[in-house]
Parts: sequence; C-alpha cells; structure tokens
Amino acid sequence: MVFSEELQSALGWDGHLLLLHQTEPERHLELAAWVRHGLKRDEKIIYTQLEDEPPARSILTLLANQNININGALRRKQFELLPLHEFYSPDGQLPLVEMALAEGYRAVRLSAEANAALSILPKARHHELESAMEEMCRTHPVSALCQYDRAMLTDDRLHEVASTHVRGVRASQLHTGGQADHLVLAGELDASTSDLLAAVLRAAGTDSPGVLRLDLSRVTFLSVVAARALVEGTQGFRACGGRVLLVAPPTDIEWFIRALGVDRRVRVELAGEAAL
Amino acid sequence: MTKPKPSNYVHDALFYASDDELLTAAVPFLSEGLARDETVLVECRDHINRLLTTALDDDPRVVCFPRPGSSGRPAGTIAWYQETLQAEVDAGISQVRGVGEVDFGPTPAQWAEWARFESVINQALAQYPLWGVCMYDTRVLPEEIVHAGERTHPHLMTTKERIANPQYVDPTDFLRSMPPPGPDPLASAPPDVHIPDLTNLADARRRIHRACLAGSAVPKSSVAEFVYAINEVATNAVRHGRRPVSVRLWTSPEWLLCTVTDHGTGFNDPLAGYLPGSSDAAEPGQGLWLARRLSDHVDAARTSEGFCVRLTTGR
Repeated sequence: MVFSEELQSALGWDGHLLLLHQTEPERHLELAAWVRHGLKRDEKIIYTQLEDEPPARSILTLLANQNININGALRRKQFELLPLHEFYSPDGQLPLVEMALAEGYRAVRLSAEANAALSILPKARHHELESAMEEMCRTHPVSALCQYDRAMLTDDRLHEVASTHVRGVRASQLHTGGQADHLVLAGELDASTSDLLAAVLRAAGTDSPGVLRLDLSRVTFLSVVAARALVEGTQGFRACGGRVLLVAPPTDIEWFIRALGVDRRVRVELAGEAAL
Repeated sequence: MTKPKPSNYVHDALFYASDDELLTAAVPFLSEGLARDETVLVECRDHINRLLTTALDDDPRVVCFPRPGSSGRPAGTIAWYQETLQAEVDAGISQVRGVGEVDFGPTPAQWAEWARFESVINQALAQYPLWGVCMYDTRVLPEEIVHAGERTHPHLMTTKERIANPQYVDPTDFLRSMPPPGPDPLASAPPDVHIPDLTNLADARRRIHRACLAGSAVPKSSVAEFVYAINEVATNAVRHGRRPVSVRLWTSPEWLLCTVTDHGTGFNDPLAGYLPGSSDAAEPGQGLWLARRLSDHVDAARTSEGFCVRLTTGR
C-alpha cells in the first residue's frame, strides 16, 4: 500500500483545473503549489479576489505565508491582481490572455475563487465562462485554477462543476487527468471522494465516443464505496452501450475490483497497460 | 439411504472413529458420483486424501484439494467455493459432490470462526448443486468442534444410512448461540492509536498503517489488508452509525487489534459480512464482508460505549 502524500504533483498543474477544497489550509497549499509552478516557468499569473477580502485571507498574504516571493513577481508584473470587474469583463478572459501573451509571456495562468466570481456573475454566466475556459485551455497556452469550497456544493452543483473539469480535478484525495476517451484517476478513492468520483465519471461518459478507459495505475486505495461509485458513475454510459475499461490497476486494487465482482457484474473490463 | 434432490446444496456430516468407518461411508458415496459422471472432490488431510483416492483405484477424475482452512479465511473460502461452483455450473456440470475436512486451526478463536463457516455455508452455498460431506475425525478433534459439527449439518451420513439431523440449528440461531469472544489481552493497555472522533478516513489509515508497521512483526501484506478492513468498518460506522466514531489500535509483535465504536445501535444480523451482499450502495454488507476476508477475526457487539466492531489479525 502506498499513501499518496505527494498527490499534488502526480498529474501536474497545467490545464483547466478544479481545486475542490475542504479546508482553508488545503486551499492555500494547493494554490501556492500552482502559483509556484507558474512562476518557475516564467508564466503570467492573473488573479482576482473579493474586493473586501480581509488582509489575512488576501492572496498576497497567503502566498507570502507559503514562502513565495510574491512582491518580486508583483513588481515585474509577472503576477497581477485584478479587480473582479476587470477579470470578469463582459468580453470574457481571452483579451486578458492575449494581452499577457503580447507582453512576451509563453503562457498565462488565471485563478479565482468561485464565490468571488459569483459575487458579480449570475450562476448561468459563470458556468458559461467555465465552459469557455475549458475550451481556451485546450486551444491556447492557458491554465486556470478554479477554486471551489466543497461544503458549498450541492450534488447538482457538484455534477455541474465536475462536468467542466473532468480531467482537471485537484481535490485532496483525487486528481484526474488524461484526454479524449482516456481518464486518469489518481489518489485514494474512498467514501470521502466517492460522490466527486461519480460526478466526474458521469460527466466523462458524456464526451467519450464508445469506450472509456479509466487509467487506475495511480490509484493507491480503493474502498467498497468508491468501487460502487465506479459502477454507478458509469451506469448511464454503459446503459447506452458504452464500454468501460479499468486499465492497469495496481495488484491490490485489481484484487479488490475482482473480489467485489465489479468486473463480472457490470461489463467493466480489466485491461493491461497496452489498452492505454 | 435417503437421497437428496439434485441441483441444490446438500450439507452432510460424517463423524468417524476409524479409517474403516471413513472408507465404509465415504467410498460408496464418492463412487456413486463417479458412476454418474459428476465432479467428485476430496478436500482432506493429505493422508486421508490418499486413503480415499487409493480406495477409488486412483480414478483420475477425482479432484484433490487442500482442506478448507489450510489457507485463507472463512469469508474468503466461502467466496472461493461460490466462484468455483459457479464455474462448474457455467461449464454445464449439473452436480458436484465431495468430502472434506475443515482445518479448524489450533486455537479456540479459530475453532469458533470455522464453526461459523460450517453454519454459514448452509446459506451461502444454497443455490449451488453441491452435495458435500464434512468429515469429523472424532479421534483427534476437540469435543467443542465435534459438538459444533453436530449442530451445523442438516443431515448425518453414517456407515449404514443417511438421516435428518435432529440437532441441526439454523445458521442465524447457531451464530447467535455462539458465546462472544473474551476480552483481548492487548486491550488492557492504552492503545497505540486513539482517534476519539473519526472525521478523516485517509488520515486514520495513515496513522494506523504507520503504527502497525512500527509496532508489530505481522507481515506487511497482512498489515495492508488489515488497514483495508479497518477502513471498511470505519466507513460503515461513519455512514450508518452515529458520531462520534472512535477508533483504537493496539499492536504487538504477533498480532494487531482494532476497535471501531459508534453511538448507534449497529446491526443485528449475525450473518452480516459472511455473505458478499448486493451492489446496492445503501447495503452495508459488502464492506463488512470484505473486512472478514481481510482480517482474521471480526466481532461485533453492543457495549456501554455504543456499538463496537473488533478486528484482529495475526493470531
């Protein structure tokens, strides 16, 4: 058994990412790692926060507390803290990206907390922006870290948020990655991640053509509840004729899957790494 | 001799006190199976397997297995039987018959686990076409094991006949009648890990795993299995019980002990966790079933503190 204490680096910090946190310390750690990654690669980082954010909670304080030389980055404008109305202008975020690229940066990073966005945007508009960001991260040298407090999400909202970040989840025990019909799951899958896992799988099933490959090679723990989430989350996809391949699970995880009969009961197939 | 209907599980016991008695009862039974082209199994101690196969003229159709309990745990053995018998059914075999001797192990705690196994399989294997005769060598088995055998088999086979067993007890009643296990001596000392209000399963797993490796010579693979088992029981307590859920772990060089206690009423089904359960997300049985497969003993009881599930491994 391996514990994924280094999970935060397992699938990297690029792309359209969902930072789904349960505590503030967790949010600080993950956000700092994301910023540090961008600063090291000389990327432009654009951030926004609530106008009346208390100083103790301000991004600048947070990053300084994580030993990041944010003042230097601010001085050279590699890190920019924009007001909400500029970050979420009616033209969307593409103009910000284009301006940063014109400044000579090779890539751009954008981040905000969802509650900050929702303080000035209707939910529907925010969801549109999330979908647009998903596309922009695919077509431009852009990474985004969208921060959501897990406690604030209902089941429906969780599914909505998961659907725009299927391959970019960064929760404390579950990271996702991959492309197209290939979804990488990394981390410890147990009762605390099962609803998120099910939401991700439901969303993944809607954009996979006929076969969904779930790469389990980086899963370090799987419980009964999480195994059920694997079954339930792919139920709709399989009911429409889709095939699910559980690829390259570690030996103990494979034993678990077989012991629970997941592979026998629900047309979920176990495959080796060649299937990736 | 009263012959059962084919196609469902038949669970007989044969109590014998000499090799002659064993051969007189078992050989005609097995020969009949061979004559009918049934799958015929012998799962006994090595010298008994040899005795029987020699008496059957070393018929190559007789399949020999190690006896149940020689490796693996009761819940895992049940799963193995279910998978093996299902494979036979899928291959078109209409009847399997066999004789076997459970390896009850050296300790009373293990005797009790395998006596429960003998009882539970009346239900766990009910749908499979197996006529199994469990053989009890009264020359060597403790009285306690023989007495349990007398209560867990619906029919008795003798050298002369096969009869309904008036002492047979339904599995639920049998399991309820078993005395609760005594206190574990490890629990008289302060625990090595104490989580008074479990909220983070991953953190709990890490602490328990580290403590087990640091405090015990139990093999790493068994420790890993034990942590999985504890996680399942703790998950059940968090999801179906009442907070706070407290977890305590004691380690020793030879074995590990863990208790998971919540303030709910727990479950009242003595068969819980002995059968695989359904795929229903609300069904707690699968987690407990896995816990029984991954640890040596799982016992549950209501205590003054609440509902307590106790797991041990290594003994």
